[in-house]
Amino acid sequence: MKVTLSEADFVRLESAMRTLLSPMAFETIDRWRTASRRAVQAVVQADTAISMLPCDGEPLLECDTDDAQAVAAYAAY
Amino acid sequence: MRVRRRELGLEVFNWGEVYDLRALPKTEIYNDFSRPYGLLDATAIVIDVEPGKAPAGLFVYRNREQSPLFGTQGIGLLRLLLPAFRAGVESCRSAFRLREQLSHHVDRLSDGVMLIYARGDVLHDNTVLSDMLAADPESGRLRQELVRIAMVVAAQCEHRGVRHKRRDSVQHHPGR
Repeated sequence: MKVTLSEADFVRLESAMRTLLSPMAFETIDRWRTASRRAVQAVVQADTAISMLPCDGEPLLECDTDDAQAVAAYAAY
Repeated sequence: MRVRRRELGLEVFNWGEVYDLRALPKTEIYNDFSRPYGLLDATAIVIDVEPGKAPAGLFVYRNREQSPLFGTQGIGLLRLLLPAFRAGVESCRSAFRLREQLSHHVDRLSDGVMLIYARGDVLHDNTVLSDMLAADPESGRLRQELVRIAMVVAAQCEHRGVRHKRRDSVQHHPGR
C-alpha cells in the first residue's frame, strides 16, 4: 500500500506517535486517551473519533462530550 | 450482522471491509448509531488484548458531506500508527495491573492509608481507612482534610525536588 506523506502529515504522525507511546506522561489514563484520540483524528483529518480501552475502573468508551450521546448508542449496541 | 474483523485478521480496517455495506442499512448498529449521527465513513485501529474482553481501539469517523473518504491513504496512515497504539495500550494495561497490586498490598496494612493522585483525586482507601471513616460522622470533612494535607506535602516534596535538580545542574557545569 502506497502512502503519500506531506510535511504536515509527517508532523501530525510524529505528534500522534509520541502521544500514543507515552501514556505515563499524562496525569491520568483518561487524559492520555483524549490526547491520543485527538492526535490520531488529526492524522487522518477525521471529523470525530472514539477511544475504546478495556481496563477495570476506566470507561470502555471515551469521546468528546458532543459525541457522548452517539457513544451511548454505540455502547448499547 | 457479523463483524468479520477477527476472521479476516484485520487490525486496521475501513467499515467496508468488515461489514457488508449493502446489508448495513438494515442493521441495528446502522439505524441506532451510524445513521442518526450522520456517519458517512469509518476507519479504525482495533487490537485484541485479552480473550473474552472487548478489544482496544481508536475509531475515526467522517460525518460531513464535504469531508473526503478515508480511502487507502487513511488506512495507510493508521497502519503506521498501529505499533505505537499497541505499545501505548500495553503500557496502560501494565500500569493498571501495578495499580491493582499496589491497592492489594495497601489493603493488607494495619494502618489507614489513602492513595491520592498528584492532582488530588483519591485513587484508593485501604480497608482500615474505609472502616475508620465509615464510623466517623464527619468522614466527609476528614477526607477533605486528608487530601488537603497530602497536597501540601506533595507540593513541598516537588519544590524540594526542583531545588535538588537545580543544585545538581550547577554541580554538573563547573566554572560557568
